Amino acid sequence: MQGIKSIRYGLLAFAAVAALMTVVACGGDDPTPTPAPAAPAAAPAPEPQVLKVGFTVPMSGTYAQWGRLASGMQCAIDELHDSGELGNVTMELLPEDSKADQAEGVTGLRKLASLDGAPVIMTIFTGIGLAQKPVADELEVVLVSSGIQNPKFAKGSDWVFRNALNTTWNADALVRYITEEAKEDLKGETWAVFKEEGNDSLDLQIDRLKELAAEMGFTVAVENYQKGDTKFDTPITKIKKLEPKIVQTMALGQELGLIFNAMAQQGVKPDYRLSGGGAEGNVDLIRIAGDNANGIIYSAPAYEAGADPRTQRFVDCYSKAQGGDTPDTYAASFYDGTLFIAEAVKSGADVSSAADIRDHLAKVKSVHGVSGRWDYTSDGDAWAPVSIGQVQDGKFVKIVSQIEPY
Amino acid sequence: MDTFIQIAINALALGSLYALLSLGFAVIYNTVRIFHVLHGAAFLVAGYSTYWFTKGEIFGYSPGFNIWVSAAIGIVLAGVSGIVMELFIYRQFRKKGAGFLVSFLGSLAALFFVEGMLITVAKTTHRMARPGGPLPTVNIQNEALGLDLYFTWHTINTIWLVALLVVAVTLFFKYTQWGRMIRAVASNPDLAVAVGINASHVYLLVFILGSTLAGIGGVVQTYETGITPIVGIHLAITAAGGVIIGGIGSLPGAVVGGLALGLAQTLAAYFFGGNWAEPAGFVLLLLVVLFRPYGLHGTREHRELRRLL
Amino acid sequence: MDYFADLAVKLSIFAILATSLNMSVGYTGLMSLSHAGFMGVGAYTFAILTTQSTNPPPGAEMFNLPYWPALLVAGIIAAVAAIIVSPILRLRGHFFVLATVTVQLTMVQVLLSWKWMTNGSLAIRDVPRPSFLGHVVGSPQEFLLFSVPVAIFLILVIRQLVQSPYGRVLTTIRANPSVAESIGKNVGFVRLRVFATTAFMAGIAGGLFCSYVTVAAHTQFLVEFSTFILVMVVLGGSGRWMGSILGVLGYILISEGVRFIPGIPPTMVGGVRTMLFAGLLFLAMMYRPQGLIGRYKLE
Repeated sequence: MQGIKSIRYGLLAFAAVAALMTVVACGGDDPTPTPAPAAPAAAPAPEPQVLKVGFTVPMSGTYAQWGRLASGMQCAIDELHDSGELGNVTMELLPEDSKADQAEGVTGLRKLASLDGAPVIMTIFTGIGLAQKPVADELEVVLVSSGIQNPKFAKGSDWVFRNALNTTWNADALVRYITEEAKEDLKGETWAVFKEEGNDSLDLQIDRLKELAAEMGFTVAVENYQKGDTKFDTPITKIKKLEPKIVQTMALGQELGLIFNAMAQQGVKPDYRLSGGGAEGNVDLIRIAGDNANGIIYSAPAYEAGADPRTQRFVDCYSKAQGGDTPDTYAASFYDGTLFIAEAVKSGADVSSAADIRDHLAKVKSVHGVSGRWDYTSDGDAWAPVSIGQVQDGKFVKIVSQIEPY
Repeated sequence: MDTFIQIAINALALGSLYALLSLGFAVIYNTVRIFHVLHGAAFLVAGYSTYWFTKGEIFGYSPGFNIWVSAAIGIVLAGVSGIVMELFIYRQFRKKGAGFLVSFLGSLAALFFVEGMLITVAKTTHRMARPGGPLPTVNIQNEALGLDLYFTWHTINTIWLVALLVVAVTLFFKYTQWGRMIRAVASNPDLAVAVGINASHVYLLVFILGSTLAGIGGVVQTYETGITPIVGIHLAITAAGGVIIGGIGSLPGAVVGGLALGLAQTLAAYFFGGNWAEPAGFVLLLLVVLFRPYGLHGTREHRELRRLL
Repeated sequence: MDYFADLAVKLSIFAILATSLNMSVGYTGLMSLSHAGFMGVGAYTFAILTTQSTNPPPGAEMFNLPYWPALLVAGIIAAVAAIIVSPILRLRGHFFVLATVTVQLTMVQVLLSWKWMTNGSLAIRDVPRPSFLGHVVGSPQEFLLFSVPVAIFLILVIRQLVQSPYGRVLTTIRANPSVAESIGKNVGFVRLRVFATTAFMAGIAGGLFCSYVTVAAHTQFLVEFSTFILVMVVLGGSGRWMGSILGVLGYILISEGVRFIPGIPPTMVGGVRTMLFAGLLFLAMMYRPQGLIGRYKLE
């Protein structure tokens, strides 16, 4: 009896699965909308058009906080609509949860590209972006990232554009600040770093720092921690013994504040407390470290809140959407990334054609965004100035507005 | 020399927190014999309540209570959550005659559910139940001994508070009526019922006690370094680990196990790097389980029980 | 339709994972939360042996195997890993579960920390897809045509194993090990064989998976995933190989379906999905522990 029942179930399940697969395999082949006929930049069509911009970003799990970048992008879209720069084209943001996982990111990309018909997809996190890259090529959609700091991301594919700071510049900027602006001699000193384990862009930054250290004669001491750790007493005890002149964190989110607190609690008082890339606008830092945060020096894109009316509107819009939090450098980068995408619309691309958008984007030379001026290279990469800031009185203040990598 | 002492203090602080969690877990396990992964939820309930009542807001209203008041509320709520867990979850499983696997998965599911709810409602933002800044520290310096120690008052307070609780719990079990009843049910449920002990009441009491202990841990942690929704599972596994290392069936063992875990993590962090702290704890657990399954302090009867499991 | 093809590929790979875990949990009574770890070992092995990246991990440079042998080796290495940790098989009940969790966490940590061989957090990229008669498999649809037969083959192997007299040995061991011993079966050895075989299958599934995604990263094989596979097995019905397939189907439907429910802002999708699964698992344990078509009301 059992045997027959199981055969029945078996047949049922196989039939279901086989049907599903047949539908899938024989279903529509070409996911991309047909490209526009080869005419020069068409005059805007009489009916309103929609540029769908997909966004694969972690919205759940440990990295759920990154979902806030969608607000940054939406604020840019609202600004573009209000200013009328897009004519009768509207941009629509379609976020998808990538769960910080490669496979999910790829699934999200496929859904956005094939089901939702988005010709442009924004993404974040190197691992996910690199997994999505071949898929973007295959599906012939544009893949952009304003957050992937790995310079290899955009290389080798016409469909991929990167407009984020290069992670290694943080190292350059901080070393230059210390040696040139603060005029310190680092020879023989120890530069201690707290680094999150398992983060590839931080590993690249460490490599660069070690390179510079070898050239300049100081030593780099690295202490790893696990994302989500709250207790840093032991790594700090270790670093204390080395009597470092400089302690840098490569941390984001809550760990930043917790590390600096733990340092103060153990009496570790280096001459300089630095942070590469994760400090500016980090609300958790102020929340957790309070007054102790004052004096921390960090590198960041040259984004200045309140520098001009548009930036102020961005800050207001983002704060409203995020329950009072002010935008950080990542939010600003993604705002600018949205402006970059909009350039294709402004130069008359056909918003239903990924190929046309790609061609127009490849020709964009520069965009003046809230992070400063972005210059775009011919191979899909970008450059923006780096600045140095310091936490003063609970606020993030720029102290060197522009500092170049070596 | 002072590094050694500093590390010892770090280990003791960490170990105390774990010991507290393990003690709560052990109190429950000894009597109910269920792998209560939901223990992490009591911690979360206390932690989040403390936060909401001090700095956060509930339905738009910001209570802004004093930290002691909020802590008390948090701990009480943790105890209440223990009642809820027993009445609505474990009692039901017992009625259905569920075995260890079913109740374990059910407990795990409930924990995930609570975490999912917290993620949806409170997001994964880190919450700390106090204003920002480092905690007040004590600095002991002694040129002669080459000492330059730093520790926070919070650490010291945690250590003696946990010690006090351990003593209190031990006394409770040894000398009070309720304590004796619990031990009776723990060692022989049928006999206990036969002599007229109300097992249902005992189970409730055990959950209240264990969950309250976890709640205290939650308050302490949320005050010092804050809380996020996803720590529930880690804590439950840590608590279970401490109990196993110290020996199932033994309350002092649970405390020792928790301390041992804290020590192992601290040493691993020191010698191998911060990212090896958690794995080191688990490796210790694995070694104990493989080579000394009754733990460091396990009672003889539990040793026998284990062979039959 | 690409999107659905992608889901179908995942379905086929997860089906291998769930059915093999079922053989372990449902038939032999070995409740293991280390399955994702073995999958990871297999995936990384495959990636190391075949990667065509321009900067692979240093340890991987000496290897360059063709596709099918690499897949086989992936499974074998996963089985070897299982044999290495096999002392935990002596344990019972809670201890075994906790031990498998420890094994899982350790395996992931090794994958992360053995940078020379695995690139650590930088992951291994450019893992190749299979090619047939010179044509490299490209789209999900094409990959589907490849992964489904492999999955069916492995599942049929499992089905054969569990429906044969050998399968009865397994279920006896699960229900009452002493009886099994009394009729002369070497319980420990059988357990070891099952554990290693299921790890082998998980390893192959891992190789397929990273070939599909073209990347092998430690984040894909965490303990949460192990829990999900277990949930798939339990909800579908343990002790019935078909149940696992239904469980996988259910998992994918729910997990993707949540995306489409109107009214849920994308930021809440993750939390809602967790709540849904957790809620389902809880209700199942409370009211229908045998899952959909399970043989046993799990004790």
